[in-house]
Amino acid sequence: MNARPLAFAVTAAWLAGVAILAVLIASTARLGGSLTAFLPRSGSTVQRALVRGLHKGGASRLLLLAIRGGTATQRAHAARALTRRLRRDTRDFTLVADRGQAMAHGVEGFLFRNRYLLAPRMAWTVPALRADLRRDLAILESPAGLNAGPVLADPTGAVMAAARSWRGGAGGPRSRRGVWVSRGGHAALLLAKTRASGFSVGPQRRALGLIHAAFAHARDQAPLSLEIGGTGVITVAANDKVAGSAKILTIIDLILVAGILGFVYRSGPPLLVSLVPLISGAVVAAAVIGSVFPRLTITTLGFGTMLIGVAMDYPTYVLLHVKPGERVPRAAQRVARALGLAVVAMVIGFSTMITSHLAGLVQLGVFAAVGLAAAALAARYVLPFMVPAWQPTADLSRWEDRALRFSTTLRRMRIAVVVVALAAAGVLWQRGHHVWDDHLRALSPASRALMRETGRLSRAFGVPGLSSLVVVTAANREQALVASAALRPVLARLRQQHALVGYQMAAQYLPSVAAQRRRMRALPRPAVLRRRLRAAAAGMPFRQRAFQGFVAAVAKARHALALRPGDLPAPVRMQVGGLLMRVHERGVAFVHLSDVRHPRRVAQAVRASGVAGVHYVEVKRAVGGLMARYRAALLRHALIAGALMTVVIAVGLRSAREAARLLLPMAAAIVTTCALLVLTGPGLTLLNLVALLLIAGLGMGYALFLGGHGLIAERRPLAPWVCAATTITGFGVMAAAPVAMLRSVGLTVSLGALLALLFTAAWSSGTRRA
Amino acid sequence: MLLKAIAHTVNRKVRFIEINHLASLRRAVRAHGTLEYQRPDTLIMTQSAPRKAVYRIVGNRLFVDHARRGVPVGRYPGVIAIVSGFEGLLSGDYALLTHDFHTRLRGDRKAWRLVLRPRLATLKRALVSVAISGHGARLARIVTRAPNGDSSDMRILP
Repeated sequence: MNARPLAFAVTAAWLAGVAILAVLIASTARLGGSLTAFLPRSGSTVQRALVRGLHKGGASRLLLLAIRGGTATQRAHAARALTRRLRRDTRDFTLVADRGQAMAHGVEGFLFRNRYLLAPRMAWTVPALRADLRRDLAILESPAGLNAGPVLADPTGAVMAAARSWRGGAGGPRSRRGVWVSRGGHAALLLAKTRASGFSVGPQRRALGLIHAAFAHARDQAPLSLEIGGTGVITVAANDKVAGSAKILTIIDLILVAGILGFVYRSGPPLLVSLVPLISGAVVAAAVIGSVFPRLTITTLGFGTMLIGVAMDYPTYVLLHVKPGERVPRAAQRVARALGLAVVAMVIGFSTMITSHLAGLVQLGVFAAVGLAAAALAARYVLPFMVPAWQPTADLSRWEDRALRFSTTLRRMRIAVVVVALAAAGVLWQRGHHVWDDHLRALSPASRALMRETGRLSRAFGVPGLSSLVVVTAANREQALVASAALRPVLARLRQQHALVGYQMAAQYLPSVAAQRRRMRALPRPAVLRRRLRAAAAGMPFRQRAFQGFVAAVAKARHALALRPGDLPAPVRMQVGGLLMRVHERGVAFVHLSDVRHPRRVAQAVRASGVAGVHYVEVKRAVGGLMARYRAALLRHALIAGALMTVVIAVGLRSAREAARLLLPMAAAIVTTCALLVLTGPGLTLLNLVALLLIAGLGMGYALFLGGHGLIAERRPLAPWVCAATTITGFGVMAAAPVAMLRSVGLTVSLGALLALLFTAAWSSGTRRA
Repeated sequence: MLLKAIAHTVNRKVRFIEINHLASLRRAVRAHGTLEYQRPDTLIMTQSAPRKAVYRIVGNRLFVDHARRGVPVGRYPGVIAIVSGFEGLLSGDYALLTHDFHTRLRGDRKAWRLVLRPRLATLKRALVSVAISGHGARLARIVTRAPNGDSSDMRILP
């Protein structure tokens, strides 16, 4: 077959294949993306509950709004207008509030209807009722007495007692001119709760857009500014920041890498097909994950693509080995054994992750193994046939000589590699566990300023933060509710002692069924209640018929059905849903604590409460623990994978000595990179670890193509140098990113690739040119 | 202008007599005491009868006697209406007043009568109307009617 039609046919077939797989991915794979996707979904009920709670909890859905500038009146006007506008949109917002008494629609009616099940009162004696009536008379004779008919429909104040906890106890910010204001009174405050989780980028971006648009109207040309805080804002900002800088960096990257490869190839087609293995690998792997697993997490996609990034080197290895007059498929065949060995070693290595009990790691293992295999096959059987007749035109012998001379120089300093590696190992040994930074925030691209701002706004509102909570597990939700309610006296005492500022739990909204039944049994029969009321009201000017509604309501409540989570009005149902849930057939209740000042005292008190199934969790530490578990598992698997790779390479080369010569410099490079990063930065994260795995893959390629084994006929020693140049350039650009996450990865990979190249070159066994 | 003038005069303490007819009580409540408005949002009502009590309404919180913790006036729908009215009226902030009420001003500078009717459904449930009348810059009488038949007639003494 002629070169050109073959190239067209193969390219068309490949494009069609990629398109089909892309459609498959789009239709089957459900992409789950959020920072909490980093967290493993296995482990104890508490850990699982924590992950669910973090993801679904109501606190993440709150957006905190502050209007600044202008006069107090202008701010109040704008706040009210903004509230009115946003309330119309019930599809995106479940709650919009600008002042304390604004309860969501339907909630007040619900409280009134079910007041005797929700209020904790048990005493219905004549003296208790008389005390109530005295207070009621005082209200009626006060300026608040007008139209206070409802006072006597609920003379015992049951609605207030029930509503007190529903309103969040703390009472929220102060009000001026009918709207909430900040402590200094310089800002009007509003609260909006979105329907979607605070970690969902799309809906949160939409909600923020709606708020800004509504504010533009509500502002009405007054010199006001709007400030928004909350998880949703952080989510969107983080996403934009990564996406924004990734876009620019990708363009710079492409230009620089294309420049290097263009200089080497001096023609366009090889440049274009250089992307074929990586794209093939990523698409095939994503399609496999999409059809095998219920959900493809952003983490897997990101980490996985990074791991198979080594496939960017494959085209270089193939194309640089094309001799004048030789066809590309023939050159691919010559390097196939060396490339094949590297790929087989890595696929076997990554496959060990499949045995992990962490779901995320299993996915990552499958993605990397499948992706690498697919990329290698594409490099061997697809790419060469896309440019079958391409011929090298550049004379690179000058560069090749330089590389050789440099290698010879490096070989004279090979003992320095040993010294450096030992020193690096010493540094890591001395740092011990401080090598790792397992805070989720270390991975978060959101700016510290934004997080601080949100924290400040949350405190202004008295909204419980996500910093610490109590998790209560029990056989079912009702028992979890009972157990969490048993903590209330403990928490109330802690609040009195100023160990914490407030707490929020499902039991505040919904008493347990048992508690409700106790309350029902305590209610007197109508005849008894009427008699007691007459006795209690002796000497007071009440008309007896004013109590008719009260007596009827009590009579009805005595035979009511106990309320369950499903009976609550919509906004509260959602709130309770985030605080009380079923996780793996067990009931879990969350108690959110706000502003914990003495974590140790709280932990002690909660432990000493004697309530079964109670765990005090400091989210930062717990999430750190989860991250550490994931990281430790990944490290363990990486070490096993390394050992397996060594065996595979040794078998492939039929020499343990040669294998050691190949792999030890690579290991030295990784250790040295780690040590340098630890010495200069805050600590290694999960991302660094994944980057190190990539370096292992890259380094193995360098070693194989620099080594003096007989796997490759007529080796081109320049190939690894070109590969390293592109990698170091590409990731070096990333190291200049404004986002810490990208910067860290860029620095790790570029530094690691440089060291891997230098170390393997120093220990390569002399290079004979063909 | 009228509002500003009233706001100016009520900045001192005035005495009042109030008669409230409530549907739930057999006899009318007769109250008297003093009223004082302090800028920007504090109204102090000192009752000497039927019981000695000081009601301070600061913003939207009602403080009874020397209580340090106030209750939201939203608890008593009647008060929030009066507070909105008073605050709007006495702070001279007409915009605040028209935000919550339809307003109608009758008479002339010598003898005027301002009738407020709530705009919002929630306020309508608590309040039918507030009629405020006066002479020149003097506030003389506030008559409030509630949907359940309760009414209040407050006279400000010169």
